[in-house]
Amino acid sequence: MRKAGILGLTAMVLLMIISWMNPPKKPHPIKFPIPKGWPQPLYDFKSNPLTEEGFALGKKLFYDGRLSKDNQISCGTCHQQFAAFTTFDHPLSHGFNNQQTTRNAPSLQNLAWQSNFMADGGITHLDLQPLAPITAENEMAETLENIIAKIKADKEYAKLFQAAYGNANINTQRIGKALSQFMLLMISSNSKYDKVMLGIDSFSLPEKLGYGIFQNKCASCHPAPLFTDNQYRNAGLPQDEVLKDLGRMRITNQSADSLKFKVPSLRNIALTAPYGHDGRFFALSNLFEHYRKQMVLGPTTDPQFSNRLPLSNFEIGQLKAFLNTLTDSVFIKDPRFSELGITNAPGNHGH
Amino acid sequence: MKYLLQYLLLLLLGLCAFSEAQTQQSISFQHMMGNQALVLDDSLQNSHGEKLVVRRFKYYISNLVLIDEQGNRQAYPDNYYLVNEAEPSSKKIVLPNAPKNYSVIEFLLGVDSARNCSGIQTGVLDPMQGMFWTWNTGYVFAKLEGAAPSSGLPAHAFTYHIGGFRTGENVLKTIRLAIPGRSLPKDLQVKVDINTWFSGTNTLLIADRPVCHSPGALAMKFAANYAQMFSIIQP
Ligand code: HEC
Ligand code: HEC
Repeated sequence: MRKAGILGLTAMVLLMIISWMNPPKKPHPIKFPIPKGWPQPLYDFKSNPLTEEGFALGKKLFYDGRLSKDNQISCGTCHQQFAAFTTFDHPLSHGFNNQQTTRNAPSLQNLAWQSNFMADGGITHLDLQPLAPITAENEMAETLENIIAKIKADKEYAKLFQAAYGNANINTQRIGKALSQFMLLMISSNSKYDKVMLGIDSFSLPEKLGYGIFQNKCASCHPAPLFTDNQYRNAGLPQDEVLKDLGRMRITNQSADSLKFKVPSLRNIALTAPYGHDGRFFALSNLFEHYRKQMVLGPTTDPQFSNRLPLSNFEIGQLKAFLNTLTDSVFIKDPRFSELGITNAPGNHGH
Repeated sequence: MKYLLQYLLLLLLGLCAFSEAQTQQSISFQHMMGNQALVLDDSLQNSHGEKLVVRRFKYYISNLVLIDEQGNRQAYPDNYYLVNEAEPSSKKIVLPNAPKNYSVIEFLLGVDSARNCSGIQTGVLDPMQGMFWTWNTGYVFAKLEGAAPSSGLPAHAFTYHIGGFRTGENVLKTIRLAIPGRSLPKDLQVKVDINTWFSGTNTLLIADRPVCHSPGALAMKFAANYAQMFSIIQP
């Protein structure tokens, strides 16, 4: 009894000394940078404090093909950095077994300022967003059980989870939070437009004229600094006969929401062709033709479009010049978000 | 003498454990189709005369409260239960620290809206449990799947995934059951009658309605029905 007591005590003291000499490494916090003049982000950082280790884990997950059934399709396959994280030059993206998505992949940027995701706003938390592509048969077609099993089999991940969370437990919540950490820091705020607003650059004449037209005709739905009001609106795109996409109505079941889609951000718009929720507009010129001539006015079309959106050829030229100033070349080359240096990442798909 | 304190401590611990055991109550759910016990993949019949087999039957229970005659409430706000026919242990809910003198038991059939709206949860609320809509954020509160000759779907399947917490499509149901004798037995037996899904407030035939996969009007009809599925079996 006495011996056991002494032994126990020594063990305890030893343990204390060891932990004092070798304290558990705390992850290094990252302060979320809010660009000057921007509103407060909507993401609740208290529930998922940003750390360098969490970000690194999220990055590895984002570029890991093992999140899909055939181990080939990562988030980065459809969300490509050089195209502001859309799928370059694809109306719809390719998923598992040569299937296609039913919508155009949006750019991933400034996600901390959004509270609802997808073109119909069906997903109400960024942490939950990855579950949709992971489990969708036409995207990554994988189960959460399998992903967790694959991740657990990789010692590298054990280290990353340990570093980010203090232990190597792996669960859905931790995967979602880490992916959010990576995506939350994808902030695009370094375009020419931003520099002009900060007074460190200036518009050319066409850009300046375009900015004026934009303020008049576009900013009501695409307001700065995010270039979206995050509302659901019908911009007069008739329903595609194959996709039969009802937009927001799919979520709310309200006929008043039929054919309404989330107003997309116009940041990096020059890099994200094709356009529209199903990528039906090959180039900006097609979209402008739609706005001024082809728009179909139905019961839920936005009242601002009661006369469609009249635009002269001249105006279109100036608008394009302005929209080009929204390209953020720092963002699309930022090594923090790039696939380079990531192991196990499948290459960009080409065909 | 030296060890007296230790012995006393041990005794105290033992007493604590003993009294704990005394107040530990449980609720057991017995899944039935009418008066027939549910056996997965076994032939059953609903009160419309439709033959069917059930392959999956699971539902969430949360916000459990025990209420005594004086209105005192013992609440378990942080406990979420996923009762699953395929996992016998999940059909018994253990309630620690529950004295016997309760006369009413109340719980939500489903997951309260707060937990629907706060990101990825863990444990029984982990989306991995297959009770979560990934494309339209929210939990499936109750799931009933199987096959019936009357279903016109491939393989004569029927699948009901019932959920919805937003205004206009809320199917969260508060279930309130009076405890017979105003005293909680050690293991309260609750009958859960699947037949109520098809008849009750709304008459729903598998033949007409083999699928319900999203919140909305049909889900609300099913939920209005299944809100009646619980009843306490008299001891
Ligand atoms: C097969 C292609 C594909 C894959 C793989 C993919 N996505 Fe997407 N992603 C899309 C498409 C298409 C949409 C638009 C869906 C919609 O609006 O219905 C989208 C939407 C999103 C959005 C919402 C953006 C917004 O502004 O609403 C986020 C965030 C996102 N994806 C992150 C991810 C993450 C993280 C992964 C990896 C777990 C991933 N995606 C994998 C194609 C893909
Ligand atoms: C009444 C609101 C409204 C106004 C005004 C408006 N837009 Fe849009 N815009 C939308 C909506 C909604 C969409 C999404 C349409 C869809 O995909 O169904 C959209 C889509 C776009 C897209 C495609 C983006 C992408 O990534 O697919 C561009 C580019 C665009 N708008 C530019 C403009 C310009 C330039 C103007 C001014 C000339 C303008 N918009 C005026 C609501 C508006």
